[in-house]
Amino acid sequence: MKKHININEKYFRNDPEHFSSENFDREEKIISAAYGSADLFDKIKICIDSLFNSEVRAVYKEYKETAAAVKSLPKVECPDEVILKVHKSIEQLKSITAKHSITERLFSGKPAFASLAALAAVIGIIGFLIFRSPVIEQTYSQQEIETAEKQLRYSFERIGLVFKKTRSVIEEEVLPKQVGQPILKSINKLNDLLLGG
Amino acid sequence: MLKDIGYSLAVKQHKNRIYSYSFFMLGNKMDADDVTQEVLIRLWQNMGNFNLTAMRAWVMKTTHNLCLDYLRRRKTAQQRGVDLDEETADLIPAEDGSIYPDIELQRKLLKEKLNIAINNLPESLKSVFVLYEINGLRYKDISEILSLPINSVKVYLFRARKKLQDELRQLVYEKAY
Amino acid sequence: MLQLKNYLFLIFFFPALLLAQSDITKHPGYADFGDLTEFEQGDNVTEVFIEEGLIKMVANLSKSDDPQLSNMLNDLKLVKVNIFKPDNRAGKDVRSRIEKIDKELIAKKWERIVKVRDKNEVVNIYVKTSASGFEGLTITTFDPKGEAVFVNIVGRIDLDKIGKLTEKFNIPSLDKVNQK
Repeated sequence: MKKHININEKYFRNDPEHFSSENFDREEKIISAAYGSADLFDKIKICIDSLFNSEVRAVYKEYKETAAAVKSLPKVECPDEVILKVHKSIEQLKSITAKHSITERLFSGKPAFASLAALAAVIGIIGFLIFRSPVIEQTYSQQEIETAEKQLRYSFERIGLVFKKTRSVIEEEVLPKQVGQPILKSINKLNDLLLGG
Repeated sequence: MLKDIGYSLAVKQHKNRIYSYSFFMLGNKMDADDVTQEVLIRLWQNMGNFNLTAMRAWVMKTTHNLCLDYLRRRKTAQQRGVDLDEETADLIPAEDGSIYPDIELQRKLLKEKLNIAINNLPESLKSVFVLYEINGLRYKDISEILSLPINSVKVYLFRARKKLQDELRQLVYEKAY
Repeated sequence: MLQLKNYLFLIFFFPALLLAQSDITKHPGYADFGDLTEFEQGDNVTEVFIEEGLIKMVANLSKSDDPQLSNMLNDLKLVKVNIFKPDNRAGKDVRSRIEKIDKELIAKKWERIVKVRDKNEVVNIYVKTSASGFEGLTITTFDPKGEAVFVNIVGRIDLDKIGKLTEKFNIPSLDKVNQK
């Protein structure tokens, strides 16, 4: 153990009885100076103090070493695969919102357009009822099918997120607190549902 | 089209900051990956809702809130292990070889301890410390991101530095005995 | 031109949608969420409503790649998803709506397999079963800080096949809970 630890604790006792604002200010200034964030005047003052006061010198040196280590920590960079995943998710969202915006435009128009739309809908319904064949054969374009596939994927992913969230909430918060046997039973059931077991 | 270009620039500008903050706050790569993805997707959804100057604060605020969500969930989990995981060593790039192997080893050990000590800081202190010391933000920005008065940011930073030093001493002590 | 397209869309698809909905609502696996459009404000809204015909087409498309998935999708009649971020004022109403849906589903003999109340966060998962198996799955969630999610899958959900589906779409399983 380093010698100056005891000195430091004695010099800056941190319990309410011994902790004066004067000590706080002084300690704060030493630490700030060591980290290089004190203003110039304080820096000079601490440097001078450290020349004549071994306790100040020890504390200053100790913090300065840590500050240097903190500043030399290598930068943590975001991996490329994270960005690739983000772009993939955004492409999926784009395709979903593109379809949604068509319906939004339809139903959020001005009253006149809304009336026209309603009229068109009525004509459509009547036309549909008159001309519909007994067997309903709906045809979809390739694009609609592909969009539907993307929407299905997105839907199941969202369901997956709920399951994931439920798992963590139950595993980490509900079970330890309440030891919820019925919940555990339910989760096992859900496990069976998901895993086909 | 403009949205896409703006977004690409924003991602380039903020991705490392988001990732680095999440990594130090959460202490593992997997959660940092998840938080970064979530923030960047939300950024895309909100492009156009704020100007460029407000973007950094929004991005970091969102990152901070998501990290808190993760920590809150994790807190109740029984000792999943909050130390920086093994991936940390791989993730933090190694420095070039030194001609003084002893000094280099000392530095490496100090960095390891430092990572553990940062990770052991309470979350309120860690957030201020990481934003100031690692991400290089100013008091004013941190105050905005964490919704704290500037004076509180200063006090938190002081406490964080002090606590970090205590943690390091503790680690040295544990190593010695 | 765009508006003309919209009207054509209305004329041709709206009646079909109406007819499809009127049929599907009678299915025991169908869950009525009521009108959610009042909560769906802003840009953060996702609506998915894929009925049987289109699901079948997707199933056909994946027939050669994954016959098991194709079979699974073939048995589904509807996939309905509403995701939105309500504002603070609407949050209370969304919660009431979730409670109303809860009462209705329980009254209709749906089985609530997960119920989580975590501070203000709500997650409910229900399944509808019959003698022949599962008929529907419903999920309602609301996080005051995040989104509200309403999901209803109607159709015969085969346990073995949905296991495959989770793998296909990367849905996380709950196997870790079992190990506890």
